[in-house]
Amino acid sequence: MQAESRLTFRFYLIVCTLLLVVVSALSLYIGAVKIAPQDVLSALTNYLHITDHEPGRYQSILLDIRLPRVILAIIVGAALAALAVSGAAMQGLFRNPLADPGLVGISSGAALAAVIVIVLVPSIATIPKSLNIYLIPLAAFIGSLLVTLLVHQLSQVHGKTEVSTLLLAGIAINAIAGAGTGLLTYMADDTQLRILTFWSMGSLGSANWAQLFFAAPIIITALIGIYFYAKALNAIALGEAEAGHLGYNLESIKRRLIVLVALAVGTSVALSGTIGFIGLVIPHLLRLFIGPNHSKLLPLSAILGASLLLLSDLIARTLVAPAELPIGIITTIIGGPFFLWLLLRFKRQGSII
Amino acid sequence: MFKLQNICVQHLGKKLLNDISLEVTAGNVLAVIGPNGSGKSTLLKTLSADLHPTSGLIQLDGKPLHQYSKKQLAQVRAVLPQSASLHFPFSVREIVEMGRVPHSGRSLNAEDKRIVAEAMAIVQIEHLKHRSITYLSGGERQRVQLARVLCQVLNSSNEKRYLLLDEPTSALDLSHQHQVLQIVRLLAEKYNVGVMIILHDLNLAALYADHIAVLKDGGISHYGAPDEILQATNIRDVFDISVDVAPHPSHDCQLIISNRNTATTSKHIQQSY
Repeated sequence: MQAESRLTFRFYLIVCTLLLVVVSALSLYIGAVKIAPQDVLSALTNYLHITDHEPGRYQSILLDIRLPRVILAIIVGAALAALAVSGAAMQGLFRNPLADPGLVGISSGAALAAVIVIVLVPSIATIPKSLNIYLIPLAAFIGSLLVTLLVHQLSQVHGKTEVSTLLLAGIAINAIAGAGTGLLTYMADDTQLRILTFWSMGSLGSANWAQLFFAAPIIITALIGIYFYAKALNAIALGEAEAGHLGYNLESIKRRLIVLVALAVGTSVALSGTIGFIGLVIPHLLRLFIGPNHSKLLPLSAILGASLLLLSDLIARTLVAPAELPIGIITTIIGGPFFLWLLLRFKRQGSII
Repeated sequence: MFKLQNICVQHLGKKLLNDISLEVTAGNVLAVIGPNGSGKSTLLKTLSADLHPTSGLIQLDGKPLHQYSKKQLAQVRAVLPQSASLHFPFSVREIVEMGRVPHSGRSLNAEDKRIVAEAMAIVQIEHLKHRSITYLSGGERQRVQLARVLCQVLNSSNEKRYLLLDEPTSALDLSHQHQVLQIVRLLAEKYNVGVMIILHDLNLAALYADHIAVLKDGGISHYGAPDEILQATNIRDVFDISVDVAPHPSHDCQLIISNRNTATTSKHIQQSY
């Protein structure tokens, strides 16, 4: 694509932000219970102490159920956009457009660690439920960190990323994590089983303020942290040796990026389970429009990722209302074919890497 | 000045470089030639601090190389390795601008932009600046990368800078090969840059280099001015090929003419004649 035909970064920033606002508004308005737009507005203005109406019937549905969920979707979306951003960062780090936290097994590693905590910890010791909020994300972080390090170690051959090894390692890790989760499912009791189903397919259904207050700062910090490496990621795209010649200390940058990616992915998985393909689809889509410059790609990935996740969540909870589809199914239905299309495109260009 | 003293590099028990002493001085062009596997790229990687010598000392402007931080090094020397593949469609201008990274803050200032434009003008790739690198030919990509490293060493204050080039002409047609070498001369003479360039074409070395170092089996077999080094017997010793050396008809240097058959060609090929 000619760079001239790329419209400006600012234009896309505005478009993506508008999309996010519109989808957020829609998500507040549409749901299993029909709420009139003016009721949505008055509940919001009440909440922000702009107006002081009599609380309407729907105030609690809006404020306690939909609003946290929208904010969660935005944050998880941003976190899955952190998946998207992480995807973008990993694609930069591995110098390969096919790297994605889901495909290479980072998400499932995080999920497995979380599932281990859910099933095994209550039987070992009685830990207050309030602590679980912190324990699960911590486990998920450690799980994703371990997998990222493992995958990175495995796929590096003489300082270059071996793509086939990267993807095969992903297959193996996904399979192992699947088996582990299966084993734990076998051991789980009824309550745990319900939680596990949620993990395996991903959902924003359990969103609540307590989780948000814990997760949001971590995810946002990780995202801002990743953004600081935008220029370094551009240089890494030239080649690892080249980035070194430009003055970047590759080893320490890699280490920090891996920890930040693991933090973002781990926390988002802890919040919402594994939601696939966002990390792959978003950066690719954006690269087609704005090019590969990470200073633009990373922030836009966050905003567009949040929008897409919010939209998927909206579809997930309205399509079969009042029941809910797991959101992971929606993103995979969109992302799976997209991935195939991507492979076809690379095939036509003559190279998979 | 890059100063190498008794450099040895060993990898997996194999001696890649053996007791190399060499200087790359600002304002001069040093061409490194030698057969495949003689250690040319290893030498370049050692100078660019990608490889650490097993023994010996490398100094850059009087200070040991390992005492420089990566960033400090990037501010005084640029490296053009043999081409790496790029999977992301950066525009030519974006690639060239990356050469300013060691010098600029978060964004490019007016001086940086001037140097970016100057580098693209010198390499004559301005007409490509909005094109995506992934859609360019191998030769065009090589020139874009050259513009990037040019951008890294150019400076208005004429401070000492160094440029290490690993076969920058490998994918280029004849006229662009000479263009690259002319740029190298321009850098040395006008911008006070010290250049070490790995070349395969002995005639390019004869035409453009101030000094030539000949590598063989990891050691320096010959070193000196092109006229002294490029003798038929020397070339035969090092490259196992028979050549004639004649005065260049239009320049004050030698012309190396390789002959068809060689005394030491392998028996298999001789038998098939």
